[in-house]
Amino acid sequence: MKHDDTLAAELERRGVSRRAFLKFGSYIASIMALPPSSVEALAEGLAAARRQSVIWLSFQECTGCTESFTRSFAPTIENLIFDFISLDYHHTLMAVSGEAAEEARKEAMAANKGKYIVVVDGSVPIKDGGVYSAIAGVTNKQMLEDTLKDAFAVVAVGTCASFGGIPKANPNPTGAVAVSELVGGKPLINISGCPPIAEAMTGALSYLLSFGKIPELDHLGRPKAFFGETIHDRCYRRPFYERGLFADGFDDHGARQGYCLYKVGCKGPVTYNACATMKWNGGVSFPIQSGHGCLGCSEPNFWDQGGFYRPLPTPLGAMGPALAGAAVAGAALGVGAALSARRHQKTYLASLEKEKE
Amino acid sequence: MTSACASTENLEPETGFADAIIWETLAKLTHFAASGEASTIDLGGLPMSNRDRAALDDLLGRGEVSATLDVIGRSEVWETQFAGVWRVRHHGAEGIATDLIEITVCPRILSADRRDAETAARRLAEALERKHGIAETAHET
Repeated sequence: MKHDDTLAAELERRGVSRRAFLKFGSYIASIMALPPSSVEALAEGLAAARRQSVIWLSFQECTGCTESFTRSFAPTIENLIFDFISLDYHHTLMAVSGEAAEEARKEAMAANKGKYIVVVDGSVPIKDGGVYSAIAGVTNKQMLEDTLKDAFAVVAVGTCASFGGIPKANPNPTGAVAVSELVGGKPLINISGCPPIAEAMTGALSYLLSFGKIPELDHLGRPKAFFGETIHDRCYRRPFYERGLFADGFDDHGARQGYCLYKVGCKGPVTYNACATMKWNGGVSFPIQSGHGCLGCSEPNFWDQGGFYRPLPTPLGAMGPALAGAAVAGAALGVGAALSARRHQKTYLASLEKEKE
Repeated sequence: MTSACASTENLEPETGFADAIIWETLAKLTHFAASGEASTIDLGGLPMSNRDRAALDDLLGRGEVSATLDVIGRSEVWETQFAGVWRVRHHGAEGIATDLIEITVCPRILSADRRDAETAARRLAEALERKHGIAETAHET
């Protein structure tokens, strides 16, 4: 495919009608909670867009983020995004190509100056001149700075790239930092999670392609569509929380009845992500549905938060009213619960700080 | 023997979502009947349990029209037993990717786009030319 073709022209050559854009548009609008009236605008924007050049840099990471994004391989609605982007460089996938891969990166940067998107997974070590991680003899820090120079936008994928993640956990021997500390003024989207939900990445890229701008972000630079509410807000076990029904262990009566996992350390009330609605493995389940509390993996410093099985310290009942009917009852209730959850998160973090002192 | 780790699916509560969505559908359908203004309810972001979905399917039922689309994967469209209330369901790799209730004359996804029709007209003309050429060649020989 030529880079100057519109996506509509490309799909048309393959015998795919514009229904594909309409279908993809309604999928993106649905996962990003955009109003249904935006479906046609999304579809038209994508149809008129050119294939987007993407350069994917992998630094201090475990490849889980790439696995999450590329795991789907059937020609279906979820991975149509792969027809909409030109993955000109992916460090992990192209590692065996050696210098040819590095040349491809430089060529893509030159050919798409000011227009390409840089995706980064992994944190960046900066201690001792950044010597702890290098590719082709170039430190991660240097490669990021070089590649960002002519980029249109940056997407930090995963908690390591977004907030430093596990490499940054105490005692952080490599001086790992988040991508946000090195991007300067470039537009940045954080898609946190360990790994992140693939749909969040698809949604953010599709929004960029359709509307040419970054979607609305929260205070940590994450798309509000996926990170606007806590796991707890959207958890199907929340009615048990409201009724005061909890599991006290992983093998007691409460656990078998599917009661709320708050008392066994679930971090759902302070974790902003879409696992409860998007779920994992093709919508099969998510940790809480499988009987384990949320670890809080999409939040900064989640590895150093005092233990996965330690209950949150804030007294029960501090949260807002049940959100079971929030979608129907209106936005006011949702905003109230979000503010309440944010207060809850602050209390929790403050208590940990106090404990450290 | 029942495992302590058995699926919690059968323990999912019925939250009342189905009733709430039916009320919303009624309000939108009444408005559509009066004004002709179409609307959509997206079920995707709602934390509905499987029991909620089953209850909703039962309440809305199936009406006179149903269609299956093969566009980057399978989609199903059917009119419920209430005229003007449609279900549009796009399937993904391993499950439902988009689940909508559309209150409209006919869901947009079923209609052909005029720009596709333009391409189709060109392709049909080319097919005819090829057939005509082949026919002439056959006739000459």
